[in-house]
Amino acid sequence: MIRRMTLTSLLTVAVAVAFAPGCEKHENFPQPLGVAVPQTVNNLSVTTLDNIVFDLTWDVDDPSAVQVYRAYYILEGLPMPNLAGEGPTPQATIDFQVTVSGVTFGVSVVTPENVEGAMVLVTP
Amino acid sequence: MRKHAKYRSVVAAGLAAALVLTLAGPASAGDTPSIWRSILLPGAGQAHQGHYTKAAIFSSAAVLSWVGLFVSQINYDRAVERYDDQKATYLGYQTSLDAGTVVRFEDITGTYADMTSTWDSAEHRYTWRNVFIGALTVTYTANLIDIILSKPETGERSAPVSLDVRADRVMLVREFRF
Repeated sequence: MIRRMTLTSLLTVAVAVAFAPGCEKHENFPQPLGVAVPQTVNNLSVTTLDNIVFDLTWDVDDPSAVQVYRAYYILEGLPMPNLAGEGPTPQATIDFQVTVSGVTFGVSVVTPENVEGAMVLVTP
Repeated sequence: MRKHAKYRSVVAAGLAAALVLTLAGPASAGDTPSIWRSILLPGAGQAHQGHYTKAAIFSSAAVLSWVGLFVSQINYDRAVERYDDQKATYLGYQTSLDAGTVVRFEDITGTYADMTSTWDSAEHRYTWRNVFIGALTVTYTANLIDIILSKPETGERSAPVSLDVRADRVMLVREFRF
């Protein structure tokens, strides 16, 4: 009887230990990348004389936190913005070579860490 | 993962040793077929001994636990897969940034939110998986304890209802067997 009880206890512990740990767990949730939030441009404006060449100007709160500015255009009826160009100065000139209408322009900031911020839109 | 495998090998060896010791010896010779049946399927040993109610309870509990464990494990694996994909994408952004590739801030924050969401989903499924592991552990343990300690049904039957006459009272006795 004592032998039976001893063996029963051994089996109980063995079964519990065999099943209890389960499989390995998902782990190593990564730390946030820690990149600074890119600023957005202010006072974005666009001017044109002939609807062929468009001049964009804008400013930012902290020019030192800017690596380059990116200028985009979005044609009417097409959802995706197209990159027109990029540069370190707060102005851009976009020449379509043909007359365009219904176009929207956008400008975003790329930080020195290569992170691009939100695009600010303007329509002529 | 290697640590878990070594740990399980030790546990499996201990379990095997305990089983051999349990089944060996004249004290358990008469119950050995029942014990082997219960090891393979909880309740089978009890049915072999004639305890059909217990057999039904143990086998049902084992089947439900196994099905629950199987389904929950699949769900957990899928959730972990989705989390791993999001994590790889998120960590890939740092590699891209270091290489000089421009990455949109919106993509970084969006992927981080998705990664957090898939992590939470995996946590939830991990909990359920462990619930079914626990249920299976309890079922197998109770089943093995029961089959080792119980004796086969002898077939002796007393009258289900009988009168017990005492000096100061008469009692109506109803017997229940499990």
